Amino acid sequence: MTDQELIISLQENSESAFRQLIDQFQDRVYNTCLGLLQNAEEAEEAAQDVFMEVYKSIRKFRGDAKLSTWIYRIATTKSLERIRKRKSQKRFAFLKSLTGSGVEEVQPVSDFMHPGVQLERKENAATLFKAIQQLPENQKVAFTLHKIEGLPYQEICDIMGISMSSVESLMFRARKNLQESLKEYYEKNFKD
Amino acid sequence: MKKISRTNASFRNGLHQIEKGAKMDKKQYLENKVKTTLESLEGISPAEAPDFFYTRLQARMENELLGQKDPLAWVANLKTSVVVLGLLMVLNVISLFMINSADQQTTEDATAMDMFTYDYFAGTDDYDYLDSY
Repeated sequence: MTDQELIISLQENSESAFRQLIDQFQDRVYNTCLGLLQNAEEAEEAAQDVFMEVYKSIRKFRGDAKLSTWIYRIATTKSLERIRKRKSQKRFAFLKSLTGSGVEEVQPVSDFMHPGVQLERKENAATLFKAIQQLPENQKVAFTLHKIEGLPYQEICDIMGISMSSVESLMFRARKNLQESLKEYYEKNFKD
Repeated sequence: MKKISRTNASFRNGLHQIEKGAKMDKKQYLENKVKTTLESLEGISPAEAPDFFYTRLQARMENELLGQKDPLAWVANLKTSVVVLGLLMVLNVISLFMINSADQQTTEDATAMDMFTYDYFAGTDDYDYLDSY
């Protein structure tokens, strides 16, 4: 079934088409959400959010972009929403702890390990993932889509709705920021 | 003496070289570490969605999308509200009539009582006809 046929079937509420969509995209969506959220449970919930959004909005999809581009766009949006929510919950918990009313502890994101990282690189990758978390949103999205999801720059342009030079600039700044934060981290933790 | 001072100088020079070497080693080490860390995601294989992803998604969709409240539910609520409001208005009107009729009765009773008081408890000065004598 081509993308166009799949879209038409989805718009006609075909359950088998929806099943096919899940089979086709679940790993890509999950991997993207996992890269951005760095938490398996949250990534699964975010991936579910993505497909629910696709189900609800497929009638509005005009086909201007590729189906995969549209789905990746929803995946990044939903993941960023969750990251923002997580941050606001942390701030709220901090304020609550200041006022001393019903202190609720926010669980810190523990050391994340992506299941696809090669064994000998796991330690370094864990440090890199921590540094990626500190990147600004746009840089984080571009870096994750390229390095973890393996998408070419052109597709990242389409997903983020920006020009090629903007993606290149985002990637350059992301790498520079990562270099700086890693250098700082290793200087602090350097042992003779 | 000269020999000793020369030895000290070469020792200091040696120390300096070692320190310099250590600094270079540290710098080199940090640079390498940053480089290898940045390269640690090369060749990463994509993560696969967990087992039974579709089943769990289906269950969630049934709960959240099909179990959702009817978007026109407020109309039904509006109907109930209108009926309740109507009943309240009818009750209000009834109670208004009842209060009015009770007032009227009270006025009639009060007039009869006044007449009675006037007849039995009036002083002589109240009888105007006596003045004519």
